[in-house]
Formats: sequence, structure tokens, C-alpha cells
Amino acid sequence: MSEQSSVVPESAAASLAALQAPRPMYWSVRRELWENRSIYVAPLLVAAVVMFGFVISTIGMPHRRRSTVLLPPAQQHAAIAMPFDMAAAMLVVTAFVIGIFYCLDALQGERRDRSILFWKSLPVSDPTTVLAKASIPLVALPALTFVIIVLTQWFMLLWSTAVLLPSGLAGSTWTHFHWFTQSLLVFYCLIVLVLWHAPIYALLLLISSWARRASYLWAVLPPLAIAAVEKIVFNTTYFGSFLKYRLIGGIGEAFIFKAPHSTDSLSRLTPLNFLSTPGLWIGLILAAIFITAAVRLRRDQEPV
Amino acid sequence: MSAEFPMTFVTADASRTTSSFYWSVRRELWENRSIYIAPLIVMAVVLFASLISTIGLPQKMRNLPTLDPAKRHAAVVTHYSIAPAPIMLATFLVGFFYCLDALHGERRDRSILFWKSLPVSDRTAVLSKASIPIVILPVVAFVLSAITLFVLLMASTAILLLSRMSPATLWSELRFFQEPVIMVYGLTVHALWFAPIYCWLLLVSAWARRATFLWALLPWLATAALERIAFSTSYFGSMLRYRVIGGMTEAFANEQRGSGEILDQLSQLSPVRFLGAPGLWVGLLFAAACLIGAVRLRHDREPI
Repeated sequence: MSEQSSVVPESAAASLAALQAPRPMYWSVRRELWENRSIYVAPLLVAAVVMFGFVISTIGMPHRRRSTVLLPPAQQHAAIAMPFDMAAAMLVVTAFVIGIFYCLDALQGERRDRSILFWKSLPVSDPTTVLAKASIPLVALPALTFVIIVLTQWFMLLWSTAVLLPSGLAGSTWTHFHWFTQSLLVFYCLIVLVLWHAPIYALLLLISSWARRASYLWAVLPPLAIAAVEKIVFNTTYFGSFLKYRLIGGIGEAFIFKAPHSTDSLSRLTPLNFLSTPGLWIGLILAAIFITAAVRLRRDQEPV
Repeated sequence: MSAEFPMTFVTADASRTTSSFYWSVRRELWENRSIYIAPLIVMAVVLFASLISTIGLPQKMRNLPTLDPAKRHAAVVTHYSIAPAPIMLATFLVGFFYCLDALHGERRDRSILFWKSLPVSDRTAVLSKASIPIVILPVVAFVLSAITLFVLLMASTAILLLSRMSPATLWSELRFFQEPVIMVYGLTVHALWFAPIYCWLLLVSAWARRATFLWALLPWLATAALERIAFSTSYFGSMLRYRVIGGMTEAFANEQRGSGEILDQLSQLSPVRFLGAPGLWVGLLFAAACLIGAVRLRHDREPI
């Protein structure tokens, strides 16, 4: 999309040309956001619910905080930082669920309501379209989730400060919740999860481009059948533990949980261990293969 | 497809309602072939896996006298009693996804305009859709599970006879006539217990313009999260849990003997306690309310 603008030297005419360039990738992503408003409406709703719940929970907070600050530092820390962590976890899970169902619908929905006939009539290539759709769970959703988490945590921090100010305990939240470190942690966690879950999203996109109907079933039933066969024939559960590793193993590879004292310090991050996990790179290669196949299928499949 | 509709619509009123209901159900089965194909595929997979593991049966029967008599029954029967489980699980999943799509899909591909032009009331249409997960799918599950058990038993008998062993132990350990009764009971219990879930999904499917899955799940998860953050309790979460797995504990008297017990005795059934569970009746009332809402919405909503 920016090919022209990088080749042509900087001048008024060139910038005008860049402005008027069609930029299909950008507009494809915009199209997805317009069509699937749940991508941002659902996390915002969850954030609103979390904030509302937090506001309710601050009733009587100064009284409780007075007994909390008498606890040992580790428990104190856990009690004060818990709502912040839980808010972040809720939003991360919401983003994952949205990503999964977005992917399952992305390429099947447009075939089903036949809008694919219109979209294919535009001069936008299949790779651009599929990559734009893949970028929603891989780029747009994590970025959006990060912003919403940071804003939610800021709101919670300011609100608890305001509630605690009259009792003079407002500082206790700030000493136990370092918002900058916490934001870095959330950022790292989101990147880890996106890289780790990339093959899942890509596989769902492939299923969505291939299945004529019931894409949910095609996504759920094969793993279930494989796990059942393995259980019945060999009485083992390797496939189940493989699925579990693919779902939540990334966190275990990217963080170390053994040091209880350094709760939110950056010493818990193990990016080198994560980057040297073979599962990560195998997953990314598979994701690339799935997306290539989805591009092929989008070119060939007809409306259903 | 419309050509196959008979001209019985113009006959007497009662038979007209019945036959339009009958043809509406037939329509659902034609349109959603996954209703029977997905359980059939799972049945084929389970049969294949079970037949492979039947090869080891003569060896197991030879070792049987060395086992503790208490474990002997489980050693013989487990193989047969877990075979229907994946099939039943598959029908629950099919029902779940079917309901999410049932009233949304026809609005999305605009076929609702055609279906509404027929002299079939909204009530008949919605009830025929609700009957798929509540009546048709349990019947499918029962028939396929019974076939699986029968084929497995025949194959086991044949293998035992071929290796010149008596199948008498196998036949005496398996309670051949109690097993189908228990399956019918279990499937009925779950149809009634899950009815509010299916009807809620139908309501969401009639209401949501997009992202049915998100709208089906998010309100419940958000409420649970709100309660957790605001009051640090989880009554709502345990209520949801009870709705998903509570039917099993209400309907079968096996929890005092620990989980993992094989369900193959009529004495393990507790229909009176199940029918006396308030959760069942509250759930059925909720289901009825959701269905009424779905009929209203189908009447009012337009194609999307």
C-alpha cells in the first residue's frame, strides 16, 4: 500500500498521490471494524461492567483498607492488586473469545450473505482481504484490549484514590500497584498470547473459508473426535494435553511463577525462554500455511 | 424444496397445524444436515476406535479371574459404557450451535422472506426449531448410541468365539436391557435440564443482528464477573455451573459413591428427586419465557 509513497521523492505532488492512493489494506481493516462492531463494543461493555463492579466494591473500602495495611506485605500486595489483575484478565479473555468467533465467521459470513460477490468485484486481492481479516485478531484486538485495560486500570486507580483520600490511605494503592510496570506486563502478555494463539486463529479462518455451513461444529468436533479415539484405543490423553498446552501453555513459557515475592516486577518475564520454545515457531509456521490455504480457498469457493 | 410441500395446508385447521409443524421440522433437517451427519461421523469414529481396542478383549477376559471381584465388573463394562458418551456430547454441541444459528441464519441469508410468505405461523416455526435440540437430537443420540452398543457387543462376542472363549461372562456382566433404559432416562433428563439453555440461545438468535455467540455468552459471564469484583462472591457462577452439570447430580444417585462410577443400574436413577428439583421447574419456566420472546421477535424483526 505504501509502495508508491516510499519510492516517489517527497514533494507536494507525491504526498497528494499518497493521499489519493487507494490503500486497500487500510480500508479493508476499516471495513471489518465497521461490519463487526462487536470487536470494540464487546470489550467496552466488559470494561464498563468491570468498572461498575469496582465502584460497588469500593463501598466501605477505607474501613477494609485499614485492616489490609496491617497484613504482611505479600498478602497486602495480593489483596490490593487483585482487582486490577482480574480486570485485565477479564478483558484478555473477552478479546480471545471475540477473536475466535470473529475468525469463524469472517470468511463464511460473506459467502453466506453473498456480499462476497460485491467485495470480489472491488480491486482488492484475496491476500489483502484475508490478511486484513487475520489482522483483526492478531493486531487490532490486542491493541484495542491494551488501550482498554490501561484506561480501565487508570480509572480504578483514580477512583480508589478518591475514595481513600479522606481516610489518608490513598498512598497504599499507589505503592502496591505500579501502573507503568503493570502496563508493560499487560503489553508483554498480550503479545505472547497473540503469537501463541496465531495458529488457532489461522486454523479458524481456514475452516471459515472452507465450511459451507456449521463452521462452529467443524472447529469443535474434530478435536473432540480425536481425543475420544485416543482415549478409547490407547486410554491416554496426549491430545487433550496438547490442546491445553496450545491454549494456555504460552503463559507458562513466557512467565515464571515460582518467585512469590516479586509479584508484578519485570523479573518474572522470560522472553528468551518463550522465543526459544519450538512450539511457538511450529505454531507460527502452521499459521502461515493455514492463512495461505485460506487465501486459496477464498479465491476458489463460491457463495453458499 | 418448496415443491415438496404438500397441499395439506388447505385442509382442516388441526391437521393443518400438525402437518405444517411436521414439514417445518422436516425443513430444519433438510437445511441443517449436521443434525444427523455430525453425530453419525462421531459414531463412526467411536465405533472404529472401539473395534480396534476390541482386539485386546480375549487377553483381558483371560486376565479377568486374577482381578479383584469388585473391579471385575468395571473392567468389563467400562469399554461399553463410555462408547456412547462422545456421541451424546456431539449431539449437545450440535444442538447448541444449531440454536445459535436457527433464527439468525434465516434472517441473514434473507430466506426468512420466503419462509414468512408461507402460511406457517411464527409460533409453529419457532416451536419446530426448538423441537430439534429438545426432541430430535436426543432421539438421534439414543438411536446411534444403541446401534453402537449393539455392534460393539456383536463384535466382542464374535472375537471371543473366534478365540474359542465363552462370551458368557461378558453377557452376564453387561446389563443388556437396563442400558437402553438408562440412556433414554439420561437423554430425557438432559433435554429437560438444558431446555432453558437451548431456548435462551434461540432468543438470542432471534434478537442479535450479528455475533450471536458473543451475545449468548457475554451477559452471563459479565454478570458473574460483576458479582465477583463487586462483592467477592460467586453465587452466580455456581448457579451457571449448576445449570450445566446439575442435571446429572439431581437425576442420578451416584455422588455419594464417588464420581467415576459406571451408570448401568436402574437403582442409580432418582427420577423423583429430579422431578422435585426446583431448578428443573424454574428452568422450564425460563425456557417458556424465552420461546415466547423468540416468537415475538421473529414476528417483528426484519432481515439483516
